[in-house]
Amino acid sequence: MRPRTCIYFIGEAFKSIYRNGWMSLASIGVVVITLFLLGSFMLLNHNLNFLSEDIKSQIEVIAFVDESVTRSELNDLRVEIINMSEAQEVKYVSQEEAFKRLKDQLGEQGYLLEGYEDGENNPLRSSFEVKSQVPEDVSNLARQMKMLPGIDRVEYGSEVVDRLFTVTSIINWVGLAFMTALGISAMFLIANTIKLAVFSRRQEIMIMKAVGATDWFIRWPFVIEGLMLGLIGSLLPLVGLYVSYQYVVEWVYLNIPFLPMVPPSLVLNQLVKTLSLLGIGLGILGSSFSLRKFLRV
Amino acid sequence: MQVTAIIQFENAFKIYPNGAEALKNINFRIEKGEFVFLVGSSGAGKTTIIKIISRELVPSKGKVKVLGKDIASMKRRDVPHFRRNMGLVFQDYRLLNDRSIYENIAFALRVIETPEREIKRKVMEALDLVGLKNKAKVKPVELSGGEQQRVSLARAIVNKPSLIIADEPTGNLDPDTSTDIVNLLRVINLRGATVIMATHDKEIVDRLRKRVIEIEGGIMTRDELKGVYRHET
Ligand SMILES: Nc1ncnc2c1ncn2[C@@H]1O[C@H](COP(=O)(O)OP(=O)(O)O)[C@@H](O)[C@H]1O
Ligand SMILES: [Mg+2]
Repeated sequence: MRPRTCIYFIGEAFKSIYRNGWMSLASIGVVVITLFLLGSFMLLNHNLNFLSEDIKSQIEVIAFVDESVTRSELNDLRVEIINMSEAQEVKYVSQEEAFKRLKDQLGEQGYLLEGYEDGENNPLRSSFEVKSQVPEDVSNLARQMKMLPGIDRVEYGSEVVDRLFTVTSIINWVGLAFMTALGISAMFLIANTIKLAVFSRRQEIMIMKAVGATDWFIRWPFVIEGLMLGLIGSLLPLVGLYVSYQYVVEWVYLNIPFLPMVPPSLVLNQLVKTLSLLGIGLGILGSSFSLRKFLRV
Repeated sequence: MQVTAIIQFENAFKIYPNGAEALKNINFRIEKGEFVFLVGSSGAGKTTIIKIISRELVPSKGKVKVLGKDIASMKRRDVPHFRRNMGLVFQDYRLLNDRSIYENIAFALRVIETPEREIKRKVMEALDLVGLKNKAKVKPVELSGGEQQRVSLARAIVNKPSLIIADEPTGNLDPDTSTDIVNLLRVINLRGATVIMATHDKEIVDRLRKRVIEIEGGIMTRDELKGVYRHET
């Protein structure tokens, strides 16, 4: 294609977008909403994954030891846990140590614990804190430890992660359904805009055919028009999310420092690529749908 | 002497999808450089013949060759380049009202990817031939019907095609203006193009004494050199 022809096609596409102003605007609007939603979900998912990885990397299994366990039995237990292939690091936390930790955590409210220090009165249990080799093994490790004699109760953070995943997957399915519906309506709106564009140019098309313009020469401006509608529609969510994500990350960093966020530099590139490609894809699909149906060149 | 047939219909039939038999067993040859009137009353089949020549339609049966190409077996993607060798003129001018006369003609060149530097020269040459050089910047609605048809003629010849096909080009014009248009077609013919003009304008046909092919009800009823519209009236 000559560069001149290319410029001509793009010019024709823009003229047509302008001429069918309201329809073009509606198409672009729906693309904007669709891609805004999609982009937000992308960022949310990235962060939930990031968060759960973070939780997982910190998680350990805590096995509380039964009160009746003697000192020598305690040692046997320790050896048994260390010998488990999934266990990486085992730490014994005595009743007294647990008490001290709790007191530290409570800080000024530490006075509430007064009178519970002594062995007999101490309500806390001694425990083993076990880190696993890989986060995925945590639940397995927990199950094995629970079966050991002398272990009263087992707690582990994966439950939180599992619950997190259940919630995310529900959100994702609902979101996916929404976005699919929106994506389809965006495509149909674009298709309809292109249909109008074809109709408003039927005289031109008739003349082009009569003077021997090729099929593709006639089609290109409409394909580009669809592409432009999609691309313009992806621009707003792109810029919006790009800017607001950086702002959100900064805010979280200052106000909720312990909440890990994916650094903008890691996601925004992908976001830009995905959204613009999806916009273009929606546009081209919409216009080719219309061209096949209404432009029998 | 062997002359090359520009158009050749051999036992050609056209039956429309709805069953209408528009052409029945049509046979004729048109040689290079001829000027031919295609006459017949409304609904006779003139437009159908013209659409077959420009390969907007294909014959249902029989053989039609135009510019050396077989119409029925022509591939879709070869049609555009085939059409670049002919100039089509219609009764309703088919001009684009949102742009100037110059742009209307330039459009026809642009969409077949003529280099920009050739466009201006070609457009002005064509406008000169039809006598509208001074109206280049004007929009079609500001012109009379006759002038609009001259613009459409300029568009048809701008690429110097060897064949001009006009379907009732004077159908919307008064007699004097019609004469102007036909005279222009004669000039174009004298410059070497083969011209076929479908019409039911009796006066013009009778005056010019050119070849007449007559169709009635889809059947060819006459093919006469130096003919008139009707033998007996
Ligand atoms: N697209 C079509 N479908 C069905 N019948 C048609 C179609 N076009 C033309 N015809 C019929 O074919 C016959 C010839 O039409 P046409 O070639 O347009 O005649 P003319 O140009 O001489 O007036 C007419 O009877 C007309 O009704
Ligand atoms: Mg007709």
